[in-house]
Amino acid sequence: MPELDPIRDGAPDSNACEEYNALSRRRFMLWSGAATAAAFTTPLWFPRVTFARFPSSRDVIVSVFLRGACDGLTMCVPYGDAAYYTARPSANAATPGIGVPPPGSVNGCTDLNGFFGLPPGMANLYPIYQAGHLAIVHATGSTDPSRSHFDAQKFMEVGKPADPNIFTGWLGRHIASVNPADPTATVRAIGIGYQMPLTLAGSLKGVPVPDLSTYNITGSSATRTARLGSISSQYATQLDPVKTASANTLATIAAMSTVGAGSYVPPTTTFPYPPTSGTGRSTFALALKQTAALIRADIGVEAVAIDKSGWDTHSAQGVVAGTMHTNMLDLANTLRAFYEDVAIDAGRNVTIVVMSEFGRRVAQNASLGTDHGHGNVMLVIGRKINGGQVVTQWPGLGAGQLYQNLDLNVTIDFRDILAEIVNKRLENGNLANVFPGYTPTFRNIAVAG
Amino acid sequence: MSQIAQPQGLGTVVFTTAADDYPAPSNRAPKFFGDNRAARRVVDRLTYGFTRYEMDLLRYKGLEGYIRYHLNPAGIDDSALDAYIAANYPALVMTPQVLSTQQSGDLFNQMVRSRLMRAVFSRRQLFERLVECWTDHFNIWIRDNPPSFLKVADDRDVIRASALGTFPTLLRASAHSPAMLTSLNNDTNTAAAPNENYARELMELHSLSVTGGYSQSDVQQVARCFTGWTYISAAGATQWQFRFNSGVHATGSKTVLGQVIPYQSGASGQQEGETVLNILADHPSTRSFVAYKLLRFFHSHTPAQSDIDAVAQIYASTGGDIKAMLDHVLHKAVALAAPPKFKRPMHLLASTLRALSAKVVFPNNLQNPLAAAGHTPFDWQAPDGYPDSLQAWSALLLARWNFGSSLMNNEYGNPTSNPPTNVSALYTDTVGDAVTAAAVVDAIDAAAFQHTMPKAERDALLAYLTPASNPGSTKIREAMGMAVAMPSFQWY
Repeated sequence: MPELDPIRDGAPDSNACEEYNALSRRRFMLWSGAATAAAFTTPLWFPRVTFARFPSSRDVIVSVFLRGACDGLTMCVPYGDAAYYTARPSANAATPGIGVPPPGSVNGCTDLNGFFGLPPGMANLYPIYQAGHLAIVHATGSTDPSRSHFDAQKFMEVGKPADPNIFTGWLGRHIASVNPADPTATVRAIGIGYQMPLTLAGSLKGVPVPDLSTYNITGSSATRTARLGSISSQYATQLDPVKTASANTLATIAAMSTVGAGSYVPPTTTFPYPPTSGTGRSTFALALKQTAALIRADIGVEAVAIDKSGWDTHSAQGVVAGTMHTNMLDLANTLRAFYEDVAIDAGRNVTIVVMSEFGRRVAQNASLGTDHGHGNVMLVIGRKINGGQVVTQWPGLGAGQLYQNLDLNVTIDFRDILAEIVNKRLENGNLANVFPGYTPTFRNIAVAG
Repeated sequence: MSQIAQPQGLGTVVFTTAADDYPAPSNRAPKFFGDNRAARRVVDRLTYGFTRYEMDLLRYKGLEGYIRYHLNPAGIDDSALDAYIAANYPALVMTPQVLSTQQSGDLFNQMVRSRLMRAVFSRRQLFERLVECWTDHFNIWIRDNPPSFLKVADDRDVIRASALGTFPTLLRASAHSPAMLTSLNNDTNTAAAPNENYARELMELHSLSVTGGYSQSDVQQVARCFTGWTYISAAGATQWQFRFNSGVHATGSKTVLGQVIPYQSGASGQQEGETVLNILADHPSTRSFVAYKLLRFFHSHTPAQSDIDAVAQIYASTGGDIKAMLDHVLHKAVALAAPPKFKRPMHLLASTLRALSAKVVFPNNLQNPLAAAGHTPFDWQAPDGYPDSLQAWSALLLARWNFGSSLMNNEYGNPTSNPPTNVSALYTDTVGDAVTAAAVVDAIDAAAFQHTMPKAERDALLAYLTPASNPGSTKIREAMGMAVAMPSFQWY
């Protein structure tokens, strides 16, 4: 970090009123020339404000989608259900299966409540659970019967099962149906990736960004503004979605240059992120770390959607070592680091929700993997989440208790969880718009205000 | 310059799509009389983007002759590119056993770079487009393990070998492909506890489609039919080739889509899977789905049901002859009235290099813009293949704007072995000795757009090129980069 005078460089005066600070920062961003500001000024993530410019009790939401159908029976182990080990012999058995061993065993799970446990790959989430900020919902998911990844993802992301004629996402409709938390925000929703996730489709001022630190036009910095202006002026006459995408692109280039995500250093080293550069780097960790910078920069982004793939474990699943274990470690360690970094920071409340299109078959297959199933887990993390509990109406894994005699039943609709978050944490009362045709049952997963 | 030349001191083959480097069409009497826009539309629909050469071919062959020419790629001399590919990407001819001994990162690079070189420089342009269509339809993620090396064989022996035959042949070839069988876990699909992965995607993605009328029971039954379809694991020259392992094949009869498939013991058990493939290949849902896929790739983001029905009817009457279906689709697609399609990033990259008659000295770094746009060939992880919709590709415009900018900034050139760089030749060929802004824009429009650039885009470039009397080479380079970032060039 170069030595800079924070006042000269446009930082707010901590003694001034909020309105003045907001105004002065906006003005600074304007006259500094947004596209080139980052190279010469303190990035906005840099700690210097003690209050949000537009204090709102509305959370920033980070929606993580685990593509490929994660195995919820591994991610939160129902070790207390004897049928679990019938369907999946323990990894410690003479002929090892893919059951995660019970607490106290070699590679055993960490007990949560005497019935469920976290596998070794997820154990680093336990302190969040203990702190009361992680709720795990089990036997949840979509009631749509599809075991197609692509149909099931679509129905979950649009927030309405079995409706092929709905093309916007639940979170996109939320953004579109509330006033901005920050009236001056130029970017409100970001999907970290190359395409806009369906979850955010329909949002206003929403854009996909593969890497927050490099979102700028290449070539000479001296001619950037002129080239961007010339190109984008031609897109202004295009039809949507291209026209709006162009406007969003311009706004996002300017916004990202002020965030300075590339230089972000978390203020705490309590639990570091997995490596975000070099061999073995985690793209998921990079995405969350940049999201932390984005949240600290306080530019009015309200929703971030992030994908994490690699969960389609039909063979050699690797529940305590191997493929899924490694993927869970990356997931859990990143979420833990993000939690320690910003989710417990009092400056801005954050809710993280983790979901997947469906769960996996209760019985393991001959490849020591699992085929497509039905019910699954969701994770919800946040300071205003009623954590420290496994929220479930456990249907059981025994004979006669399974969906189509194969899979974990869905006893809590995923929309109950999302709707409660949208209502209590995102302060949107218009749930009929976000989840059309559905009356959710709140599960006391979050507190309001 | 001939079509291949050895540049000074490099020993590297240079390719170009410049028209004067190609053989003249044999019959010089024009048979196509449409204007530049009409000609560009035809060429754009059959190729990875218009070039002066392809525009000439169309004019002298006429529409029917041009379509027939591209529908018969075996009759097109592509020996120059074939030689380049053979010399630079030796993995492409290796057996699966030899491939299994290669370094996976090197195989990945050879596959991506050869794919790109073929897209830009092959004269069998329609064939290469079709290869991309089927590569997505039968998608295999190359970075999966082991498909990293088996995909090389799948690309050669399945996709490219059967791209222009019949769809049933292509479907069967894919079903016997060790790369497909391993990537969808059928190599471990055994009687004890069948693995449904391949069975499901075979019906959902390869044949019937998700709405094609199969049930969870059908998935389980098809999985049982395919128990034992795997590869040879014993070390030796035939390792990693297809094998039916009767020892793990599920006994008992199976019922698939209402049809009983009797159990066959021993080596004949393989016939159960073959029967499934026949049922699927002949199914009306498959005909419609394949018709939809061809129309979506070559004609429109959102094909009309009447068009789907017409192509499906050709499937039914020809036994799924891809050439016959494609012939019909292309005749619809080349019309100016056909709805425009939004180029996917690799298409944009290829069409840019083609329009600018780029001389590619060093293709390796051309992977970078594909990665930045999220469209590296063979690198889509899920089995459904890269999306082909306006919604999917129109949000990340920045990668498109940057491609021309970085290209003309020489960020993709050979960092160590200059000259000649890509860009200086490209600049000279396009702009020539034009000095004024007006002359430069005329030159870009003529050389790179075949006089089809919209006036508004021309005006935008003119306004950028200041002073108009002599804007200078730096701004001219930037304007060339901007020209291919403009909206009209994103569509075809």
